[in-house]
Amino acid sequence: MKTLLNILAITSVIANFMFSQSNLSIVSQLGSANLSSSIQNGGDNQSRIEQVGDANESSVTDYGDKNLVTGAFFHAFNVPNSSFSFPAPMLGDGISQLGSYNKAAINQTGDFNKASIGQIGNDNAAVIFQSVNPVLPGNNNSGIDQLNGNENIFYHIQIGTNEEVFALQNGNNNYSHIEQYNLNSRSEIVQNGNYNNLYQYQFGSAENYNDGSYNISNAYLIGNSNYAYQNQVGKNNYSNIASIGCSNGTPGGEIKTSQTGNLNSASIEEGLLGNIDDNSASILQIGNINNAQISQESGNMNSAKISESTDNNKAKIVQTGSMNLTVILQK
Amino acid sequence: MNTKVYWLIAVSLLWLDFSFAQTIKSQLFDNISIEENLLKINYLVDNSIYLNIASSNIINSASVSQTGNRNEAFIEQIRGGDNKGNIVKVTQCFENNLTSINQSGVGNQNYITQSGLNNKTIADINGLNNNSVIIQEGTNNYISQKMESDSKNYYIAQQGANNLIIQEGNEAISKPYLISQKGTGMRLFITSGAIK
Repeated sequence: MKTLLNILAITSVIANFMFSQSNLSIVSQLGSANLSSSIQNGGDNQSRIEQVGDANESSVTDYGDKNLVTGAFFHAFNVPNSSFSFPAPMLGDGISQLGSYNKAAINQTGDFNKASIGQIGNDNAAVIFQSVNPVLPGNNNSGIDQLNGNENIFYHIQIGTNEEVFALQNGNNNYSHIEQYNLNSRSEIVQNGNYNNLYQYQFGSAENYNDGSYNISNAYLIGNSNYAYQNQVGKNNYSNIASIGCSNGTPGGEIKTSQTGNLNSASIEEGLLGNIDDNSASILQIGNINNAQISQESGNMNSAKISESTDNNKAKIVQTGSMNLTVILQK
Repeated sequence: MNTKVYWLIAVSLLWLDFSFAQTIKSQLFDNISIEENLLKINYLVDNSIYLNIASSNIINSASVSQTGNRNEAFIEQIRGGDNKGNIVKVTQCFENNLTSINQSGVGNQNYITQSGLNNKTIADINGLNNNSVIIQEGTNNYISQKMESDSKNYYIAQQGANNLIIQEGNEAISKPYLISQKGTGMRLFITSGAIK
């Protein structure tokens, strides 16, 4: 009985339901094992959830346009020698969680929505769905997400045109998964730490899966032993992964890029700084008039592989170091 | 002489050696250029060679640059036809490097340069109207090139010591070629279908 009372004392549930426009929802919870849920049906709504403690859960569900769920912990990230241009720092609304074993979820359906989650701690999970209903694809969504700590998970799915995802993970053993469907999508992520995993996908629509065009995937990895995979289907797509090693004795990372379609470009840059060994990079391109480039500027025992099918493709590999392996297949 | 004079002489000798090496290197490597669909070689002052591929159309192009030791590059190109070819460019420096090329089709060209010790180039080229340029500078280097059918022409140059060239072909009529070896302990083996 005493245990039950203790659980009740530290557990609170807050749920907000709003069905009109221009509403503001603010939830602040201090403690552990709290649950917060906000549902907004309409337009121009704003949500903010702040949780300090461990094992908290929060979710925001928006149905409508121009809803705002922006995070409090987003900072501009200065990436050297990169074309990354993260938005300016945003203050105020959103889901912010300070602690460990927290979960945050945002589900938005409509156009011009914004979502952000800020998490500081370990073993956290953040999930953002924006217009994941293929019958009602959204447009111009911008998800801004940040996780600080180790063993964190980030999962983001967008369906629509002119979608944007900006993500930052600081720490080790983190996992990111970003999926974007339709045209003109942009996915940019920075992972700062070791043993991180990254998956970036950009495809066409559900009706025309192979026509994902004019998409951009950028990833910037700072650390060692990271794994990254980018996959694009369509034409006029661009993917880039840049990796910086830190010379701390751990082996380099494994990077893979796959593109299906025509007029695509892919580039992988490994070992921009430091002198990391045992990096692996591979690019697979199926289609015509594609361009692939792998640069492994430092370290030894690196491997680079480019496979290109059909015609008018270009492959370029630059390696500086010893005991490196290059394989180019053009068939 | 004091210490400064010794240092001055040492630096001067190093500079002379460096300049000499750069001169040799420029003779071997710097006078070769790939212009659009054209391999242009000015290795010999009075004898320029131009290797034209069969058509202005390039299907696939592959470029590899490796600076270091014990590097390996494997390139396979099998597209080609209707007078459209592939192009390969490989540059490797220092020791114990390996380049392996396998090309099939029509109108392919490759361009390989290696400098240093114990480097190997193995080229297997099949099809019609292919061109090949292989240049090595250094010691104990090895070139093995097999050009089947009616490849168009090839150019092989080695400079240094104890280098080896093995050229094989099965063409009925000998193709135009230029082989240049400068140094000591060089070996050359040519097998052609045109030579009975």
